[in-house]
Amino acid sequence: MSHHCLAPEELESVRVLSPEDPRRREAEACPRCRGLLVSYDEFLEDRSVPPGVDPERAAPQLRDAFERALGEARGPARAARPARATERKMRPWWAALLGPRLAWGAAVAIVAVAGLYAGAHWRPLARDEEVLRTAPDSSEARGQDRPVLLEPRAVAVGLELRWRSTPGADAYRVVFLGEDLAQLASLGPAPDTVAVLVAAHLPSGLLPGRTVAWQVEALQGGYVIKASGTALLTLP
Amino acid sequence: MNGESDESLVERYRRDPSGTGGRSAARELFERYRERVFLWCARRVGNQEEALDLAQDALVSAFRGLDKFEGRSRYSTWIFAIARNRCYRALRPASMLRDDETDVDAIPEAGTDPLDRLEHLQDEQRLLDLIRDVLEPTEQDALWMRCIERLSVEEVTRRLGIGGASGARSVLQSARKKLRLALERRIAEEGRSA
Repeated sequence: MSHHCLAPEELESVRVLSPEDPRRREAEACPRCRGLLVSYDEFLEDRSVPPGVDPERAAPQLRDAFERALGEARGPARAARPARATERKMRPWWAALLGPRLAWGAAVAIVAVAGLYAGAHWRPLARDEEVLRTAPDSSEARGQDRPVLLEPRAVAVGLELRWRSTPGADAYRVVFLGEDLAQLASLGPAPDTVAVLVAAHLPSGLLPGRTVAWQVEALQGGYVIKASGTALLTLP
Repeated sequence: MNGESDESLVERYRRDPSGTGGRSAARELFERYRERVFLWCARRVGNQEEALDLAQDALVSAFRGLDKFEGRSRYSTWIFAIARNRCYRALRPASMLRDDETDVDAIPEAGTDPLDRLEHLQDEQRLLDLIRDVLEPTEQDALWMRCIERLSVEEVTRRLGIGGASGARSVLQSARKKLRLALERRIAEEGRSA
């Protein structure tokens, strides 16, 4: 069997697997992957201080460097502020026709009419309305406490996938499925109940604009303990 | 420190990089990893000033690259990869064939020593294959952790639970000896078949 060494971005997902998991065992059998896992583990957990080194003495210098970088990053944004002057010139056509006072009056009238319309048709939005209706599944992992998918939310960089947590789960994996229910790609595992699909960098196997099914698996010690139903999603 | 995930902080910063919320998210991320990155670098290079330079470089690069963070991995693995690259680029390559006790000043200029030439003839994958072929599992791990991941001999001893007074040192010596012999044999065979 051919072995593909771990890329750094896979480290966390393999690190959280149980020692018996086949993917973990494969990684542990390779000196390179094992070395990388040990090194990453040391990065996360080891706070030992080598002789002659003082992290407290380093802290102010590191903070200074970071604040400088943060200040530089703000520069272009501040420089962009004068653009507001041009924004002001780009008034809507009806404002130009009516003049400022009449335009304000028209705007207030529109808002008032919209408010009356919304009031007539308003009904309370129950929290459960956010919950996605999912297809029934025959998975052994289904049950009362399985993850519940929530309506994905558009964010600046793409789409935020959300779900309700499952008691006992220490990580979740989002799985994307094709029409034939074959797995196309996955995200995680990660402990959060949210995952962001970045439009510019979709996981390999996913094509922008394509409709796929998604499902969340709840894991405990690397094993799937529950799985959500599936829901359809149009990729950003 | 709040309970917000790293990835959510990244997202918050990207939504509003110049606003108060975005800046506080970036600061929170920096504080979460400042000491980790510094200490990890310090354990590799062994001195305050060099560790400070490397940690500063890694932390600032990670911040400047937040726009490039693809979200395909955890932020922790991403910043780890940046720190690791910075550190290993700055460090003198560790030899898999030469013992740790070798006096650095006594090492001939790169390319003039037969051992160097032997090692440089191999790429990392070929060395890895050879290591797996000729070394015991503990020797494989010890050599890789010491030479590629740059763990100290003491750390390798601890991680692998190696007993005895010399700990990983004797395991490393034996591994290097076996590897040198195997490499010389392999190159001789390749020479004959060429």
